[in-house]
Amino acid sequence: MKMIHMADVHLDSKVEAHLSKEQAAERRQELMDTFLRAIDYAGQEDVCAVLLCGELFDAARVSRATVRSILSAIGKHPGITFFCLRGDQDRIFKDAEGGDRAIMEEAFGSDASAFQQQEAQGFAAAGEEEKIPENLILIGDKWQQYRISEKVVITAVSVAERKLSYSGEAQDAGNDSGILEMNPHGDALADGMPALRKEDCNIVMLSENILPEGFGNESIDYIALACGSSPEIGSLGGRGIYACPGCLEGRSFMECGPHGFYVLEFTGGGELEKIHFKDIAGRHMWRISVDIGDLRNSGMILERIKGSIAALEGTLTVPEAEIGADGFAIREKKCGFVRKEDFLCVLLRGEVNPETEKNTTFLTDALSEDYSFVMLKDETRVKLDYQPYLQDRGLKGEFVREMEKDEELSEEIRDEVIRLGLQLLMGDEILWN
Amino acid sequence: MELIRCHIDNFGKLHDIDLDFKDGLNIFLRENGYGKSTMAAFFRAMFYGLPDGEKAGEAENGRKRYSPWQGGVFGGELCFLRADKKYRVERRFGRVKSEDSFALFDMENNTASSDFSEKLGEELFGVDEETWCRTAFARQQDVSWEVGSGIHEKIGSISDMSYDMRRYAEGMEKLKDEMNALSPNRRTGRIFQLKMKLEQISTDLESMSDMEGKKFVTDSRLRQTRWRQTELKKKMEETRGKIKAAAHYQEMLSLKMAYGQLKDARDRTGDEAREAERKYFEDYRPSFPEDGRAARMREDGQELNARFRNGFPSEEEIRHAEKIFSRAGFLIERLRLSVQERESDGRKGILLSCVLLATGLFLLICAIVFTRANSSGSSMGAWIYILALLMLLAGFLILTYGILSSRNRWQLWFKKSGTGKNHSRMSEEDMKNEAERLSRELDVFLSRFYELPHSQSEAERRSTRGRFLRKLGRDGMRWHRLTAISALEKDYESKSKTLEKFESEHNPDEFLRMEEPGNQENIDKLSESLQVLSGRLNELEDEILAGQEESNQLRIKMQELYSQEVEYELGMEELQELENRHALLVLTRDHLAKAKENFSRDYRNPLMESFGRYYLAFLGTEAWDKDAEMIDKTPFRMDEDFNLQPVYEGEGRDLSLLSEGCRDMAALCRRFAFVDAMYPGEKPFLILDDPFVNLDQDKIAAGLCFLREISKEYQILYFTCHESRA
Repeated sequence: MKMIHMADVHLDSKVEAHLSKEQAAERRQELMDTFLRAIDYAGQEDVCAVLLCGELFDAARVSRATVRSILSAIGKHPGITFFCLRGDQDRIFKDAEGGDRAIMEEAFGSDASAFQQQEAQGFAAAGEEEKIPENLILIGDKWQQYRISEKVVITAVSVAERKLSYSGEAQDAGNDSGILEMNPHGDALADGMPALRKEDCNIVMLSENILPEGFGNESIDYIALACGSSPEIGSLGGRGIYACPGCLEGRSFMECGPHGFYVLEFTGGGELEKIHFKDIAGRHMWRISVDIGDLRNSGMILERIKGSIAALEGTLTVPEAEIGADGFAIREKKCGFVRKEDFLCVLLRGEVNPETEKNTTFLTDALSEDYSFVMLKDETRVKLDYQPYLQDRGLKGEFVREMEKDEELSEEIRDEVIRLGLQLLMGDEILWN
Repeated sequence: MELIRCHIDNFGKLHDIDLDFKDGLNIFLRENGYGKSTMAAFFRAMFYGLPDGEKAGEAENGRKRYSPWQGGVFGGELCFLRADKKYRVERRFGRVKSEDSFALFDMENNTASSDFSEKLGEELFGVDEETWCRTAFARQQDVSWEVGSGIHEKIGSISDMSYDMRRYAEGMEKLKDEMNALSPNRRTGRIFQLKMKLEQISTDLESMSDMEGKKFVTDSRLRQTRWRQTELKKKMEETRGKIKAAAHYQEMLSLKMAYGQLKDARDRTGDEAREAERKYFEDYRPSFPEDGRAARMREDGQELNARFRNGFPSEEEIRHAEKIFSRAGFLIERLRLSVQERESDGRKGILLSCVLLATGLFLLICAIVFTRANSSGSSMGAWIYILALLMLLAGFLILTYGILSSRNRWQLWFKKSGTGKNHSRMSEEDMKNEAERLSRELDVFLSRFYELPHSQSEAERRSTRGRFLRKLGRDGMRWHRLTAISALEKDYESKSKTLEKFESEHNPDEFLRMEEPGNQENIDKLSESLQVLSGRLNELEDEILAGQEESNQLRIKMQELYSQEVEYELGMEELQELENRHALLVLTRDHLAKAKENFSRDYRNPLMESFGRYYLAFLGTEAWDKDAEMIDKTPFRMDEDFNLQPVYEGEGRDLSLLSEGCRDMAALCRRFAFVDAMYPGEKPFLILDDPFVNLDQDKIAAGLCFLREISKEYQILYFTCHESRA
């Protein structure tokens, strides 16, 4: 049996600001394609459940076409159950009667049964004709529990605010009393987390990216979280682990590296045995710093950049886990291979000589031949040898000496001020780096 | 350093001149036009060489200017002391710089020295040529000068210092311009404008959340409205269904009624036909068996059709025939009666006439008798005569009538009959003829339908006519009845076909077995209800259109906002960059100003000290301490640009407030103060080319006193052309 743990899909959301309007639209479509590809993968791999831990889309921005595509894709795989949590980007709006309603709750209904009953009302953004597939289970802010197989149980809750905290002590299952009481607002919920049986393989889904302190007990095998940009696996302290798959595909240069989801593999007996990462992103975002301080011209700089890119291979890792009788082992899987279709952000750094020939347009154009999108940022500083001026009797010398005395300034700023001052005192125009 | 002596081979107008110099003040009283400026230029050329070419600004010191008029190499030698070592420099100048020569010798052992290069001046004085000229060489027109930026051009401040200060001023201008261009406070500043723009975008973006909420509400409402529309459509569909069912029921009902009517009509016709048939046979063939009646009727029909193949006589014809039969009969009867009557009347008439005649005669006789008896002429006798005559007349007439009527067949007077026909009196002959005519006519009529027997007497024929006439009537009745029966049968057939057609076009089972639906609503009410629903549906559709439009508009606005979001992000990056630049410029400005302050202070204090010393020297003051009191004793101060300002009542004033003489003195003191500051180490020699030419006599004395003072530190070459100033 297999499951997929996916989060932070961010369909129809903001993408990298430096893309043109057309590129941005194309990028958003690519995110959609990746999501659909992930679902197709689930179908091909006979996955029984897909755990969507929030941030599927920003319901205020999502288009009808996107929602229809999602529903259609889910509907095409009736054998897969999709568990969908609300993300923390959920908004609170005033509904038509002036009451506060979370947008996803309004869109989907606060629980599955209510949601199913709202079938006739259609999907918020899709229009009146769309029907919600029966294999799409939406989790509200009340705990819900589903038995997937004889042994595997999914327990899930959405929380609208980042105030999820844990109060109370972990208790063993065995009785039917609640094991943990989640405390999202400082008050105990009327119904706490459902009881978890030790003999089950318990998968807990949370839409948070912060694991509540102390959350975890002997009965939890896997906590599926939604988190920021990078995959992460950690220990719960007991028998279980938590995992964040990172976002499904990077939207900006703040979300670099490989992206995808975790595949949970279970033994025939329903035990979780392996968690491996599937990189399914259509494009990766890469951010590379290249020190060109010792280089003289654009040709050399280009070579250095290409070398840095090649050196990336295998340098990045994503965590995976294997669970055995003795516990679990987390290992790092190597990745990091810059492909032609990837987006590249190159930061030129270092102190360069004033005579260094550095043509950023040439560099950008040359790199653009190999990669889909290249953003080049020149963060170099012109090397400034102002030591000779220290002995100068004139104003230049006085200025440099004055700057040397100012210990509050950082070296970088001091050098830049000296450079500007000397430019001015030499009668040159102000040139910015 | 100190000049020892010089030899000018050729330099401008100077030719083969030797000069010795002593320490301190060297006064050269030479007439105007001697070549003092040329000599100064010679000294400069010996230390700094001559420039190549004739560049702008070098017209005064150009190679061409000082090359000997007679041509050839020009130059000379110069011996000087520096750091207790004597040197001799020889320079020769050609047409171009490449023809120049330079040689430096150690005067002690007369060997070439490499202590200094061709850049002798820079190495000795540490300043460039221009600066040296501005400081070490004071010409007469330069004693008094305007304080201001232009003064730096004339005499400069302190070599590099003046250059630096100029550059500082220019640089600060550029920096100020750049800061203004970036300014966060000026409306034209990029940072200000960008902030405004970003603030505007931010304000717009603040509305994004509201707008998204509004869109959400709009979409929710839209969804709800669509749901209501769907429900309403369902209800309308239901209502239409009900209407349709009701209409169908009505239709079926109508069909059922129509079917019933057709069936009833057919059955009725059938019954009528059967009744007519039964009656026919009852009337005409009462004992005919049931079986074969149809055939019988057909035969009867055929028979009658044959008989009446030319058409059945119309009622008029029959009536006419009956009439003529009756008339003929009447005529015959009348004829008989007429004859009888005639004869009777004749007899009666004759009898009556006899009576009347007899009576008349009697009366006549009586009358005669009476008359005769009464000769008086009584009227009674006349009356009896008249009466007798009348009776005689009447008797005569009646007799005549009786005789005639028994003989003539006059037309008889017929009373008017009930038919309104006037019958005129006819003669018996006419009656007979008429009767015969009528009989013939009747025969002709009857023979159309029947074969009349021929050999019959009139009475028999009359009876036959009557019989056939009656038969005609009966046959006619039969024929009409048969025709009616046939028509009924045809009608029945037609109605049966109609019924069959109806049955084939409609399914009678459907409406015959149809049950009346329970709770059937009135179609009108349903239609009314449908209309109301339709009205509401239109309203909902309008609501949906409006909602869609609003949602679309919001979506468009939100798309614009999302674009602005990107613009905002990029704008913030740019703003950060510009603010960093501005901050750097501020730091640069502040540090440059600080440096300048320090720089100028470093020079200003000593400058003021020197100035004070020289000023007091000018005034003849003997105090010559280089302490701070000297500054306090001078009513001047120096601003950051080293401009002098006389102090009046604690405030610095413009130098123009001073008299020309004081101004010149102050300027000269300032110049030498600069020289002091510029050359703190090795003192240069100074060339003063009649600097007091504009001073009045008492000031000249002070000036000379001043010179004597400064010559204690500097070797001064003082050129003048007037004894009063020597």
